Parts: sequence; C-alpha cells; structure tokens
Amino acid sequence: MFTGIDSRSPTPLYAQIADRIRVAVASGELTPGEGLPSVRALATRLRVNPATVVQAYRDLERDGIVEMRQGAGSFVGDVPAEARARERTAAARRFVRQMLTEAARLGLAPADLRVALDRELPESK
Amino acid sequence: MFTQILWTQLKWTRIPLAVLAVVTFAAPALAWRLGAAGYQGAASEPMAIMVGFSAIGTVLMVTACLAGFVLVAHVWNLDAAAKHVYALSLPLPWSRFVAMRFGAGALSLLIPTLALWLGSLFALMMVQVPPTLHTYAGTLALRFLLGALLAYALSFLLQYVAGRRASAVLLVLLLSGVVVTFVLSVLGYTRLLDTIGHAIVEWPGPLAVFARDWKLVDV
Amino acid sequence: MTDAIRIRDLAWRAGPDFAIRALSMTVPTGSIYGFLGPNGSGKTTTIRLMLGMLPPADGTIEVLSHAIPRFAHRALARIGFVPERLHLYQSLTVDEAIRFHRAFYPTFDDAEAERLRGRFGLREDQVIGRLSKGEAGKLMMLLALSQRAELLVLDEPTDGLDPVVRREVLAALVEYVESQRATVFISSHLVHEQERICDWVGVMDGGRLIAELPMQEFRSGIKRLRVAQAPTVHDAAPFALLSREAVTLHDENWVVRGWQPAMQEWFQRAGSEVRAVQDLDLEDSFVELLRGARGTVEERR
Repeated sequence: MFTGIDSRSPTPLYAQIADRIRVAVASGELTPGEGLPSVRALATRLRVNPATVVQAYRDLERDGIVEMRQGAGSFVGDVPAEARARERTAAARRFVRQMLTEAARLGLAPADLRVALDRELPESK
Repeated sequence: MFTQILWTQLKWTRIPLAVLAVVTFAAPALAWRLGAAGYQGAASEPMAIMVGFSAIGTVLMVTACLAGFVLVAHVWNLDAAAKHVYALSLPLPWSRFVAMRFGAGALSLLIPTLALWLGSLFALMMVQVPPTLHTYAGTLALRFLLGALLAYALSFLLQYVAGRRASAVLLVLLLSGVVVTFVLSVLGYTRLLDTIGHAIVEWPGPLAVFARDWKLVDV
Repeated sequence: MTDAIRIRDLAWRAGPDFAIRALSMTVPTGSIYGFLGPNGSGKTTTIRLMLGMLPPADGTIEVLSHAIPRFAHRALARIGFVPERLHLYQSLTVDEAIRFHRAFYPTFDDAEAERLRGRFGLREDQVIGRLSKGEAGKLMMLLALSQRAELLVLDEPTDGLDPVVRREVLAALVEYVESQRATVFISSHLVHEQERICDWVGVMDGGRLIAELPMQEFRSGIKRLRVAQAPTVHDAAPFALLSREAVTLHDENWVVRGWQPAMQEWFQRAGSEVRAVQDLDLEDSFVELLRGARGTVEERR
C-alpha cells in the first residue's frame, strides 16, 4: 500500500501517505474498525519523520476516516458506502489532475491524451 | 573506564610484552651461562658466578629503555590511526584520558618486571652461591622497573607533546646531544662535561637509576 | 525549551584558504535537523568544532546547555556521534568494542545493544578491522543508539552504504527518534534522504550557513515560474530571484524564493505573465539556492 512514497513528488509526504489510506478505505482494502500501523511502525517502515505520519493520521482523523485512540493506536473509522464512493471519485480526479500536470509539462495536448486513453483502456464489458 | 583502557592496552601490546617477558626471564640464566663460559676455571667458583651475572646489567638497561619506548609508540599509533577521533569523542577531558593511558602502560611494565624477578630466582636456583656473595634478585627487578618507568615516562612525554613528529624530535635531540658533547670536548670543556654528566647520572639526577651496575650477584 | 545546539558567529581558520566565518546555527530540541552542503563546504569541520574536537578562533558554541569546548566532555556524555569514517579501534572485536564503549556512558542500554547487534547481523567475534563498510557503519550507529543519547550527531551516516544497509540504518534511526524524542543532527549530501526525515534544514556553502528554516518552508518557498514576456529588469521584485533561463523565444524559467501568489501582479504591471508555478524538490531547491548565494543572478541562454 505504501510503496513508492516519493520525496521528489510535489505532493508533501504526509499527503501521499494520507491519500494511500484514503484510497484503500474507499476501495474496501481497509475495512472499518481495522487497525492501522502504529506511528512508530509506519515511520520506521517508510523511513520518514514520525511527525509526518502523525500529520497524515491527524488529517485523516479530521476528515472522519481514521480514529486515533489514546493508548490503543489508530483505526479505520466507520465510513459509509457513499462516502467511500465519493472518495474513489475524488482519488481518481486527483490522479487525473497529476497526470494532466505532467502531460502539460511534456507538451501533450488534451486531444492526444483522449486518443491514448481510448487506446489503452480495456474495453468495458 | 580505566579497566577497559587497561584491558585493551594489554591486548594491543600483548606481543611486545610477551617478548619482553621472555627476554627478562631468560636474561639471568643466559647471562650466567655465557658469562661463565669465558672464565678460566670452574663455573661454580665465586668469581665465575660474579663475572657471569655482571653481563646482565647492560642488557637489562637497554631492554628497560626499549620496553618504555615501545609501549608508548605502539599504543599511540593505534589512537593516531583514526586521528584520535574516537578518543576525542569520549566523554572525558583529554587530560584524564591521557592520564589513564599513562597509568595503564605503567602497570603493564609490571609484567616484564615480574618475569625478571622470577627468572633471577630460577637462575639462582641452578647455581651454588657461596656465602661470601649476596643475591639481589628483588633489587634488580626493582631497578629494572624504575628504569623502564623512566624511559616510559620520557617517551610518553615526547610522544604526546610532539605527536606525529615524535621520532623526528627524538632524533634531533639525540643528534644535538652528540654534537654538543663533541664540540665541548674538542674545545676542551671536559670539566664542564664531567660536571653535567655527574649531575645527570648521580642521584638525584634523572638518569641515576642507569648509572650503577645492575648486578644480580655481588659481594 | 532551550535549543539543543546554539552556535553564534563561529569562525575557524586552517591555512590561508579555508575558513568558517560568521556561522550561526540553531538546532531546536527534538528536531531532526538536516545539514546540507556541497563537499568541501565545511560540514565535517563544523561538526568537529561543535563537539569540541577543534578549538574555534571566534564565536560561541553551546550544546545541550554546555559551553564548548570548555565543557565538551560533559555534553559528550549525552551525545551519540557517528563520524564519516570508522573511528573505532580496528583490532578490537565487535563484542570488545561494545564493552569498551559501554564503560564510558552510564546510560548505555545493554539489552538494546544486543537487540541491535542481532538486528544488524553483527557477530560478537568479528574483528572491526575486517568489517565491511556497511557493517562498520551499522556498528557505529549501534553504539550511538545504545547510549540512549539525547542528541545524535551523524556525519554522512549512510554515504557509501548499499541500499539494503542504508534502509536498515535509517529505519533504526527513525525508530529511535520516535521512541526517545531525541534531537538528531544529520549532515549528508544525500538530499532526498534528508528530505524524507528532516523537519529542519541548514544549508552550508563556502564556510557559511546560507539558509536555515523548516523543511516544509524550504521546499514550498522555492518555486520555478514559467514567465511569458519576461521583464528585463528584476531589481525591485518582491521575491528573491535565484536564476533565470530562456526556454523559448518568449518564455523564461525563473527560479524564485519567497513567492506568494499575489506577486503575479508585479509581473502583470511589467507587461508579463506567469504561466505556471512549479514546486521544486529539495535537490533542485538546494542547487538553485547555492547558485543564488554564490553570485549575481546568471543569465543563462
């Protein structure tokens, strides 16, 4: 879930971590009530400043996706189905926005992208 | 802290110490054998015994000086290999660290001293010492220890003050000593040389311990 | 809370060429402070001065509230130091080295040393002189962490280590920081590694500290602007211009520091337009900052 957290990306590290958790919750990979790795464990695993993990968890807590319980750790909150669907849409839009920024930097036009998307996406059944 | 410094220094200098111990242990017995060989007459005669053991003095003096010098250089080089960074990063003042190094080295000189004492006793067991002669095993060992400590202290001072350039400084000092002595004697200042010589070598001069013959057996 | 390290107007000279001049640095307690700078900028020398290993020519140094170099030995009891090159006695074994080190630090945690030794895969009987670079690095880190030091001073702790060992060392460091709330001072030229871990950054160049600020500010404060019809004069700009470079006939890339979105007006008044604003990653920011500090703005064609 947390592979490829990149300090080189313009997105701050805490936001990258939070986004991964958001998407995992939205897709059902993380279920409500499930425990998240402790700050220490995740920071050690990712080799990032523990404060970064804390910031990510706090952000998620603010948005109601995560509950931080004193002494017990952090858990996925009770996120209703439509909220999860909304998050999936939001995540997809974030992804597309990043793609568009990168494309603009490379000098690709929207028309080029649409053609490429048609070619690359598998036929919907 | 001191225990660790002592232990590591003993480990580092175990080979020089072992060699020194072997030399000092064997010296009395060898001196007697080799010394008495050139004597006309029975090796058991008092004169033979005295002549035999008298050779020991010079050998032991040289060994004492070497012991002092080698111990200092060996340990200092190990610290200097990493530019003393480790020693400087330890949480104690540099002076305390140097003092502990000095103490550890001084204590380790007890090893060849003990070997000398035991070697003397061993050599004396093989000889029938006549009642007219006295043995000085303990005194000899003590003289060795003092001589070695003196050489050690001087080498230590030189090494820790001059650092990497210690050998060069030593060479310069020795050469200047030789040159000065030569010049003074050529110019006829023999009395001055004598006075200086006596001051250094007679008690309480610094090199007094090296002045008299180190004898194991004497009248 | 007093700062872990406070340096004011530090100066040091070695021969006619190199000097550290008017260096002032503040490392807040509990921070992970990244010390960045090109090779030869004086980072290792600054660290040596900070730990009382070299006598400063001028200025004041205070580490963990102790004056350096006068009371350096008191501060050093609470500092875990990992130098650039192996400084331990090469003829000792791993076990002997741990025992030796332990004798000098009353806070040394034996159980932790044993745990890290197992985790780092170091055998007790290995002779230090025969350890690989990675193993030596791990041993030095092991000793510093087992001391339970309040301040860790690390000089290029992962340089020259293979990726696997680097990760092991960093993971152990992060774990320590989280559990001990220690202050960490890391000098490294591995910018991306610093970026992940540090929350403060100090940039050194030519013997001086040219920037010191929170990591977030450093990253977000330097931006690359795509400017159309760029004005020729830039003296009165509200931001600091670090470099400008022509990309097409009409467009230029400007790298600026202290950018605010409202500053678009300045360009508009000069008859130009900012087409895009891009964040630079730490490495690019660092390079641009050095360029800006080293001389007047270059006009690159």
